[in-house]
Amino acid sequence: MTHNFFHPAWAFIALALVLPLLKGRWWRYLLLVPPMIAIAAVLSMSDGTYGLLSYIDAHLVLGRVDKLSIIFGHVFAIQSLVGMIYALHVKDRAHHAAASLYVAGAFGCVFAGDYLTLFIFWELMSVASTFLVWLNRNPASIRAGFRYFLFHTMGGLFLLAGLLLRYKALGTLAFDPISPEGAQLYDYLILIGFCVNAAVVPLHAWLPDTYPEATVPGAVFMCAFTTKTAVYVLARAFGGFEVLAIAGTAMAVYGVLYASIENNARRILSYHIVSQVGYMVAGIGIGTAMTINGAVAHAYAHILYKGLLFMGAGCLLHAAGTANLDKLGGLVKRLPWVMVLYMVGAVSISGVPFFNGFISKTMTIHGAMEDHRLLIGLFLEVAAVGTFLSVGIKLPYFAFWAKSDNPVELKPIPWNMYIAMAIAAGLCLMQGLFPQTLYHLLPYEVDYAPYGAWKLLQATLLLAFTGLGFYFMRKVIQPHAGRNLDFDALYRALGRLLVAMFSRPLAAVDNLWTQVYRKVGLKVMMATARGASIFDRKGIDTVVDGTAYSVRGFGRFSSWLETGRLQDYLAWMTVAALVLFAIVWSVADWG
Amino acid sequence: MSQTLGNFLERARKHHCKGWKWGFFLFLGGALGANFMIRPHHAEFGLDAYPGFWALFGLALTIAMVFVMKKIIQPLLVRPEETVDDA
Repeated sequence: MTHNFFHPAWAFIALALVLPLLKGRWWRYLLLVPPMIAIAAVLSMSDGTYGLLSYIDAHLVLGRVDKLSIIFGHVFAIQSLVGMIYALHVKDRAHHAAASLYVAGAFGCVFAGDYLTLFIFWELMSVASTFLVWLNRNPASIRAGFRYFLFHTMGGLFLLAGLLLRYKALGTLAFDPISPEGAQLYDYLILIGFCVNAAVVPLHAWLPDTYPEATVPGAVFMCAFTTKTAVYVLARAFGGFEVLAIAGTAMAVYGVLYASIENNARRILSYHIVSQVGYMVAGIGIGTAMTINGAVAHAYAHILYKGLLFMGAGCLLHAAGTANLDKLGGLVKRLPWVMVLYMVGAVSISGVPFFNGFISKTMTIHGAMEDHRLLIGLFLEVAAVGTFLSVGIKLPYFAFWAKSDNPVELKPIPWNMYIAMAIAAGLCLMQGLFPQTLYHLLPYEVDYAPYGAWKLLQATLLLAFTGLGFYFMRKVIQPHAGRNLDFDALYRALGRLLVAMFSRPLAAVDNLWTQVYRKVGLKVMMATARGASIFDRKGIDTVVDGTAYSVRGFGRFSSWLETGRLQDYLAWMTVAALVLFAIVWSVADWG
Repeated sequence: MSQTLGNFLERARKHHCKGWKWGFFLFLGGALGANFMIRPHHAEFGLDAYPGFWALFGLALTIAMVFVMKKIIQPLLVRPEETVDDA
């Protein structure tokens, strides 16, 4: 590792390891140190390859730095600071440790130059983010966390299978662009693994199922890192894959359609992650310099405004105890700043001029049109209408505006939550007003000017008349309690079928074996036990009491470890993996 | 400061609804009027060369989307809130 590259992940891993050891009241301010180190590290990085190590037969690259990795590192560092400020009041150290490891995993993926390094950090993200759901500590979050973990394990296995088959075929683990014409089965397995994390329809159902069940700050972290890391790896390896152009467009429309009928604010925002990531996936799939720039710019802008929106919805949940719109309403007088700051995120995601969503979304649509992909461009405009309808109008209207007065008792919102939202809102506005602050970071040279009389008027007409449509339909679109079935219902049905296919024959065999055992085995066992008992009393007791004590002690230790809770095993696994990495780190040959 | 802003927004919500509404309609009319003077250099879909295309696109799509999703699709999909966890 050379002096001009410091891997931001180490700062977050170090924080996660020392957190359990810290005492007193001031430890929480340490949470801000790794993000600041990460910001400094990313700003001081220069292009190159760092952190080379040989392990077994593989050449691993922990630090591949170029324009694509730097821009994602840039926004990850900023969002980690915003997220940590937002979470500053949380007393649960396990939560901060999980968030730190999760962010470390995201940085590890972004700077990984080979598939094995990518896979290790990918899985670290998966495990750590599962804890951000479980640590909400209610039955619904525990169940949602298990579903999330199972789905991401499946995605991870696709990635693992693909990278191993690729290594066998090509003899390399290098994580480089793949040509759409020459792609093989193993490349498509890797693509499926990436698509799970990118929430590509129909592999998306984990997202709106899980994010509404995460902790309030946990959802703010999760909305920024998982899908955007997936966007990064897709942009890195799968640019120009036509299937992504189609899938991305489908995601953009699918997400807004579902959001228009949802009741839970965080679930509405979750469906809009699917939709907004759809723009990015479509841009990557089209694969021109303009659309890839658009996808990356939109990822950057999206992390900021989506984090802000989840923070706003989190404030509602924190203060009112619910994020269900049918139970909210009329809160503008009591939570005015939450509404104002939320609205900055809402107009940003909707592509209102002078906010950052406008300068990134229009770039992707313009790129699609420029490449004569008119249908894709048209559907992305449809998604823009649906986005403003749900996030820009419906959600704030039914949370803050509708109903005369809401008597719900509100918990005070900690100051740090407001500070984090204000920073995010300021960045959304600053980027919208000064597009070059974002454009100069993009991987390709930018040949696009977002502001012009027609572009401003077109956006104004589209969004303002969407508002008029809402005015006409405001009674129809009123949210109601209920859960809308999505593809997860299909997964569950298939899962039950699979379990039945195995469990029924096994249960039949088990019944038969139980009967045989009762009739034959039990008698033999009893006779053996009587003999063993005599032998034990006469011979063994006097010899091996010491051994018995040792076995009992070991048994107690084992039973302490084996709690039967998957959450504990995952935590131990993460600790063991980090120890293992440290050992590998110390024994590997550094290049 | 929070209270002042809250009171201002509350007054806008409760007592000045009509003012905001007519202001909004005026804004829509102004934007539509401007579309007769400001036109795209190059129409992507053909019809978007005509003034009011994007206004109609936004309005019609919103009404259609809300109607189809809330009145036709959602009744087929919606289940009680606890359905997922009971499954």
